[in-house]
Amino acid sequence: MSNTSVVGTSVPRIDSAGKATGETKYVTDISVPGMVHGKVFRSTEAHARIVRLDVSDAERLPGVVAVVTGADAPYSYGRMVEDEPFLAREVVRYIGEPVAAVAAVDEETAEAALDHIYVEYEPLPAVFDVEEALSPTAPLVHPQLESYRKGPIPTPVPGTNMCSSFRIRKGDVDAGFARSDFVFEHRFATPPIQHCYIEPCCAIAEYDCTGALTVWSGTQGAHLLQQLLSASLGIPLYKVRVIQPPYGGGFGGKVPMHVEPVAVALALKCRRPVRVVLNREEEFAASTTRHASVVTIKSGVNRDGRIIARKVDAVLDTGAYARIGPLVLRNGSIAASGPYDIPNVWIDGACVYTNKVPAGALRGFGTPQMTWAYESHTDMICRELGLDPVEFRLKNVLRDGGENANGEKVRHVAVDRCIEAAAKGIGWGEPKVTTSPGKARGRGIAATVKACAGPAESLVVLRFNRNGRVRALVSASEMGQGLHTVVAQIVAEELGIHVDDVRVTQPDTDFTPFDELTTASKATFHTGNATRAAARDLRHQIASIVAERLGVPQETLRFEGGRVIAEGLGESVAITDVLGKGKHRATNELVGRGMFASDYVIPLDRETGQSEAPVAFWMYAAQSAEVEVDLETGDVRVLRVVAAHDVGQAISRLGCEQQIQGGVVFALGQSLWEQTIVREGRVVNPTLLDYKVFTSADTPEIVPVIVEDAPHSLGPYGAKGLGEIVTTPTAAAVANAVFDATGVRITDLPLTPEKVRAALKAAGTKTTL
Amino acid sequence: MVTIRLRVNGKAREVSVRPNETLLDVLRERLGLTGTKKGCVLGDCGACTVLLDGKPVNSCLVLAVDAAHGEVLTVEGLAENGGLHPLQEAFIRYGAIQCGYCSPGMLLSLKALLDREPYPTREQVMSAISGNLCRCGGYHKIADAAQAASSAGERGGDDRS
Repeated sequence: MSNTSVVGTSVPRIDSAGKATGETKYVTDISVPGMVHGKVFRSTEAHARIVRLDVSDAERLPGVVAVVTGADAPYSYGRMVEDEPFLAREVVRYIGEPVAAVAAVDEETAEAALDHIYVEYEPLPAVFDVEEALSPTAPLVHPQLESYRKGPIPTPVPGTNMCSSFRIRKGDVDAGFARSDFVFEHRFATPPIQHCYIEPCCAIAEYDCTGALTVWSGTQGAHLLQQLLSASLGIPLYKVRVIQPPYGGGFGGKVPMHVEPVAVALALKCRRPVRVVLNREEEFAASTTRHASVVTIKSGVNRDGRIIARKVDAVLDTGAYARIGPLVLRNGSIAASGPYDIPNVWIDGACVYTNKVPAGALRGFGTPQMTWAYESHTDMICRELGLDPVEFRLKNVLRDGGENANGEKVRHVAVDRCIEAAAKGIGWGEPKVTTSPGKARGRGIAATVKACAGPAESLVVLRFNRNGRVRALVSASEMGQGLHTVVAQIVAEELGIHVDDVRVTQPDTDFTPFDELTTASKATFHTGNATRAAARDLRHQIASIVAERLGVPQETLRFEGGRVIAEGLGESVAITDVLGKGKHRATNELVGRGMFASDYVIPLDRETGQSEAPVAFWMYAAQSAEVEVDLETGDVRVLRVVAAHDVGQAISRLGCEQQIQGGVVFALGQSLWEQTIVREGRVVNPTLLDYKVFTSADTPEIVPVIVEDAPHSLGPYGAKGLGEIVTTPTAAAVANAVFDATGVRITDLPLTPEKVRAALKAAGTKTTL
Repeated sequence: MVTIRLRVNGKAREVSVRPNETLLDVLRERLGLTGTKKGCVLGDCGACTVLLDGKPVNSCLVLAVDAAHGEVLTVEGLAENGGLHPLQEAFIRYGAIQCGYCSPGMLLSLKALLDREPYPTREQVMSAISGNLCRCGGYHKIADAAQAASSAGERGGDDRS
C-alpha cells in the first residue's frame, strides 16, 4: 500500500452527477446547425461483384440531400492493413458492408430513400469457415492483398486468406513432450460475440470552406481517428479535428470506424454536417464482433504435476477486413500458454480472412479466447490425473523471478495470491451443499494473464487557475471505466486538493494532447503516469512561487488540505491564493505538462517471440464460480463468483469494484448464452432480445477481491490495469464448475442448456426424474 | 401532423407530432429532453424508460398520440425542490453509474418501484430493473443505491437479502 490520501480510497465518480440528472450530452444527443441525417445501403451478399449500382431515383426524392457510392469516395483505411474501402468498390466482401449512403433532411426520409437504390450483384464464391479459408483451394477474400499498405505488426500472406500470423518458440517443445509422463491434447472454440454497448455508434462530420474536417464521434481514440482520416483522405492532420463527446460504452467496439467513413463521404458531397447513427440491427450485423476462435492445446505433464511443455495452435476468424485483428492475434497469443512457468512453449497463431462481418477488439484483445482454452484444458488435466485444480495451478503458476513464454523474467506477480483468494472465497475443498433432486452443484476456478502490449505514449496538460482549481486536458477516453475519476484523484493527491476541484476535459484533437486510443487496459497506467508527471510539474511551479513569497527553500514545502505548508516556519499559503497575488510573475495561470511512454518495450523476435521486455505491463487474476446445473434441462445457474484481481494498487477502490463486478456480468453472458449466430455469412439474431444480454435477474452474487500485494514499479503508485482482464477467466471457471457438478465437459462456448443437456445425455447422466 | 397535449415533468406541453412518432422521439427531438436515451428502439434495452401516468414504459414503444393527456416523468424531472432525488444521490454515492447511458432508464424504473413499494427486497429491486440492460456494471451497485434510497435505507435499515 502506498502512502497516499486520495489514491486508494473510494470517491464518488466525478462524471456521475451529469449522468444521474440527464444533463450529460452524449454523442447521440448532439445536434449541429444545418445537420442532415445519413443512412447506409448495405450489401445483402457475402461475396459478390457489383455489376450495376443505380442511385438516380434516390437522388431525385424530395428531402434527399446527397447519395454517395464508392465512386464518390474512393478512399480506403486500416490501421493494420489498408484493406477497407469507405464504401464498397467493385466488390462486396460481407453481408452488411456499406455499398451506398443517403443524406436527407431527416432519418425517416433517408431510410425511405434506401428503397430506391438498385444494385445487381454477380455472386462470387464465399468462405465462412477459418479452416476452409486456409485450404489452398479456398476463394480469396482479398486477391489484391499484396497491393495494400500495411503497418509493422501484420504479416499477411498474398495469395492466401492469411491476414496475420504470430509465433512463440521457447525451449524444445517436442523434447519436452517426449520427456513428459503424460501428454494431453484438447480443442476448444468460441463464437463471435457483440459488444452491446447501450449507446449505438454515432458520428457527425462537417467540412468547412477550407477543406478542413471536423468529426464528432463516440470513438475510443480521438487521435487515432484523426490519423486514420488524415491518412485515408490525404489531408494534413491539422485539417482534421476530432471531438469526442461522452459516449455510452465502448469495450473495444468503438475503436474501428463504423459510421465515420460514411458520414465523411456524405459531408464531402453535400457540404453540410451529416450525422450517422447505427440502429441496433446494424450494430449486430455490420459493426465489429469479437473474433471467433478455434484453439488446440497440447501439454506434457510430469507425475509430480509440473507442466513440462505446452503447444498452442490458435486460429482467429477476422472476417472480411483486418481492422485491429492482427493486434488482437498478437496480444492474445502472446500469453496463450497461460500464467504458468513452462520451460518449453510453442505457440502458433493465425488471423484469417473470411466473408463475414469483421472482428476486432472486445474487452480482452484475444485473451478471453485463449484463457477459455488453456484454463479448460488445465482443469481437464487435473481431473484426468486426479490432481487438485488449485494445487496444480499453484505448483505451475508464475511467481516473481519466474520465466514466461517470452523468456522474460517476470516481476510484480501476485497471481498465486489471486488463486488462493478465489479458492478460499468460493469454499474450495469444503463439502458440497446438497440440493434438490435433479440438480447438482459444483465449483470451478480459472487463472489468467493479460498483456498491455505497448509501447504507447500519453500526454497530459493541466491548467491551474487563479482559484486554485485544475482543468485536466486528457485525450484518453472515459467510456464508463472511470478514467476521469482516476485522473482527478491523481491530481488531487499530488496537489493536496479535493477531487471536486479537478475537472477533466473531453478529448478534442485541437486542444487535448496526444493519447492515441484507450484500449488494452492501458489508461490508468499510461495516462495515470502522465497525469502524475504533469501534476508534479505543476507542483514544482507552485512551490517556486510560494517559496519565493515565504522565503523558504522549495523542498520544505508540503501540499496538503488545500494549502502549501512551509514545514518548521509555521506558515502556509492557501492553494487558492497562489496566483493573482504576486508582483513579478505572470499570475493568471500555470500549465503543467506530463508525458509517459512505455518505450522500454523491446519488440518480440519475429521468429521466436522472445523479448526481455515484451509488453508495457502484465495483469493477472483468478476467478472461481459455484454453479447449479439442472440435470433435466441442462440449464446452468451461476450462484456465486469470486473475482480476485492483481491490480498492483487500486487508485479508486469503488472504480475497481465497479469494473470487477461489471466485467464478471459481461463475461457470464458470454459463458452461458451470448453468441452472434452467423449462417452463410448472415447474422440471424441481430437484436438484444434474441442475442440475450445478461440482466439483473440473471446476476448472481459477485465478490470482488482487490489484490495489492505486487505493486508495479513503473505504474502510478504501483497501479496496473484492470478493465479487460475482469472478463477473461469467467467462462472457464463456470465450465470447470459445470464439470465438477456433472462430470460433463463443454469445450465450445457458450454453455447453452441445449449443449449441456446433450452432453449429459451422451454421458448417460440420468436426466429424467 | 397531430397536435397533442400532455404534461411532461409537471408542465403542460402542446406538441405537433407525426401520427407514427414515438414518445421517445417527441421527448428528445421536439422537447429537447435528451436525458431519455435511445438504445435499441425495440423495447429490449430499457434505456428510454420514462414514467407514463406513474408506470414505467419503454418510450420507444409508445406512440406519442397514445400518450396524449398523459403525465410523463423523465430523468430531467426527477430532481425535487432544487435538490437531487434520493435515488440520484444514491446512484452517485454508491457507484451505480459507469458510462451512464442506462442510468436515466434505471432511475425511472426504480422510482416506480419505490413509489409502490417503499421497502423493496433485493429481489424486488433486481426484478424492477430486469428490463433495463447495463453493459458496464454488475447491477449490484445499482441495487445497493436503490436500497439505500428506499425508505428502509433512510431509516438506516439494511434489507439486502
